[in-house]
Amino acid sequence: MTFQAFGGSSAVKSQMLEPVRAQWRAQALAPDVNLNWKSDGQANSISGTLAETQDRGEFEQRTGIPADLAQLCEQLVAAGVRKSDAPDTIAGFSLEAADAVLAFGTEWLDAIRPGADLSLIVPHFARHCLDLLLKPDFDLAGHICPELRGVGFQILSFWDRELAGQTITRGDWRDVQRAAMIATAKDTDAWGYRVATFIEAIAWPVRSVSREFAGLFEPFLFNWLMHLESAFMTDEERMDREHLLLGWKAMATAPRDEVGNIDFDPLESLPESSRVISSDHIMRTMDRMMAVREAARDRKNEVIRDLMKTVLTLIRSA
Amino acid sequence: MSDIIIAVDETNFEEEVAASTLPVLIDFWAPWCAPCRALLPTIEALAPLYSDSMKIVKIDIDENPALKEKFNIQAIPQLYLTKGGEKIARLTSRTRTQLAAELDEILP
Repeated sequence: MTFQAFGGSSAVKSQMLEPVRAQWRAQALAPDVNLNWKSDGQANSISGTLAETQDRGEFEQRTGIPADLAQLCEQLVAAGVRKSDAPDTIAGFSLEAADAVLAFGTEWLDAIRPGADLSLIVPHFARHCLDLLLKPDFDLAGHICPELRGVGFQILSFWDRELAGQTITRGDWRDVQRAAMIATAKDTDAWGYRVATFIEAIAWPVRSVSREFAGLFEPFLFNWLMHLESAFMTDEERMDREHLLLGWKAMATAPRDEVGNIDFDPLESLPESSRVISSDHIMRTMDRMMAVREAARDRKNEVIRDLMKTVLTLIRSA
Repeated sequence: MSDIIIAVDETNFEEEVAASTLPVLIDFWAPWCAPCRALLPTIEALAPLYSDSMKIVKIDIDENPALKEKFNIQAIPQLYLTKGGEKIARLTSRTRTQLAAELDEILP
């Protein structure tokens, strides 16, 4: 499919965007990666409202914008927003976020030049994120094992060749995928699991990753933002957080039967994880963890805003 | 892209799945299931890689209760590889990399 944003028409852009802007300002929309539109029990999303649909194909036909990009932008806003019930408002909810994060809700749409082909924005953004996580000063750099880092650099090199017009063979990609699975299976770092699974999942031609990217990036970003809270924790809290992550990993990777049940306790061999996942521990530490989240908020907003700026730069250059 | 994945129902199951000369990967899903919607792009990305060795279809369990019962679907998303309309394997991976590795082990 060839993309031509807003059919190349400024009038169409304005006609589609203005109702969104009004509703976004009135906090009547909730960012959502599913592009919600008149979905049962769900608030309308920014992009769903833009095209008045949550069907990806219809969205792309009506807007000329890749749904992958819309999903990514919704996700970035959602990552920086706290949505809470507010029965006294028309929408029934309220959004709390830094002004710069909320601004992005329509900023990315404003940045689109009518007629622009935005089909390579998400592939280039994916390349930016992979490059970022492989940098030695990346926040989680200390949790990425050398084998996985090597796989990451191999993917980056393949992506650069693809974006320059070359084709990487299926066999070459298979070798990287095998290496990624081996590195992920060997990785035992509590913080490294989400990074490893992200790298393993994106070990494919960059254009083909675009469609899946928002879904793959979400847990990685969640993990990254959560790690930023570590700087505001005591040593004991940091240890507990690691036990929590190991417990989540054990539950996520335990084999399940066809009903989705696990026929053993994945936390049996992880008593510390079991302790920190217990409702008693969660209730006891809730106030303190909320304070930690609040303390880390500016730093998280900075990360989210930097990612948003990258998207804006890519959109403006298209 | 979504044309790659054929929507199968109780009227065309025999023709599209049971009579298929290729093994058929069935993605059991429902529109309200968020994990199912999240998995769909992964399945769609796999489809062109296996177009010579496998067919991929999706079945909405809400619209097709008889097929839901035939395959005893109790949780979704559920991925079954079938031959002659009968399941030969359940795929448990949920990333494209791992699903491709699972398929490479099973398919000839």
